[in-house]
Amino acid sequence: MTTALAQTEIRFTSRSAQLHRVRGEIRSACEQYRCSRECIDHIVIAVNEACTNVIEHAYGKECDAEIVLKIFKDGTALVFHLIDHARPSDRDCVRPQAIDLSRPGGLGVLLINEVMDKVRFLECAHADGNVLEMRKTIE
Amino acid sequence: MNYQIRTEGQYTVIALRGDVDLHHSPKAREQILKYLGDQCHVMVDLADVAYIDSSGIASLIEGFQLAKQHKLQFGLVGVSEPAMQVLKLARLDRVLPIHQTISGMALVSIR
Repeated sequence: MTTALAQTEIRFTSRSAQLHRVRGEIRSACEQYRCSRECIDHIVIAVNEACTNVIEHAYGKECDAEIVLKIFKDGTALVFHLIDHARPSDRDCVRPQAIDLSRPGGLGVLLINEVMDKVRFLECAHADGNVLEMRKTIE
Repeated sequence: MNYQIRTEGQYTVIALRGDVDLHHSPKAREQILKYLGDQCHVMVDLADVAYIDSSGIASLIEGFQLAKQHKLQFGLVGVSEPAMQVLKLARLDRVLPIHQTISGMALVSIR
């Protein structure tokens, strides 16, 4: 059995101008868990991509819809739950695909999967919305 | 993010500074495509880039592809550590032409 410890919660709206602040808060949260600098850099890259995907694809626009990022430790893993209230996303959209330089889409998903050990959508309690779980072993 | 344009030899250098993320990458893309559209050889200086995300990298890839189509030179110069981290994670550090400096570079024919 695993136990979730203290949780960090970051709330922001579906606006790309918020991403700079969100990255700073992700970095601060990870520093509490004594991750290496490189590990933190990589986590910030991956989680930023997931946040970007929600703004760009789930909500599909700049708007004031809320996005919540929860960060907690579960055993040896740092866990990130990215929660939105957009229409349900294609559950396969987080699977990595080979990059085609003539159509560089999918780069964000590739980065997420390169950094994280496990990426999946959880069942959502709401009719609308998505909960993307990303897990990264840090010990 | 902000940017500066300078000329070094036969290259138009687009120096990006700050965060090149979803909020700012359209400006970077616009400049890259503008100068390539003007038939300039383009180097993108990433020395002062604090952060770049996939949308910024996609702009660089688009520039690289467009330059090949137009038989122009395109490359990255002075890539900062944060930018290199992303390029390596995406395994694009061996795809996009990366140079330490522009001085001494010679124009080579594009195949």
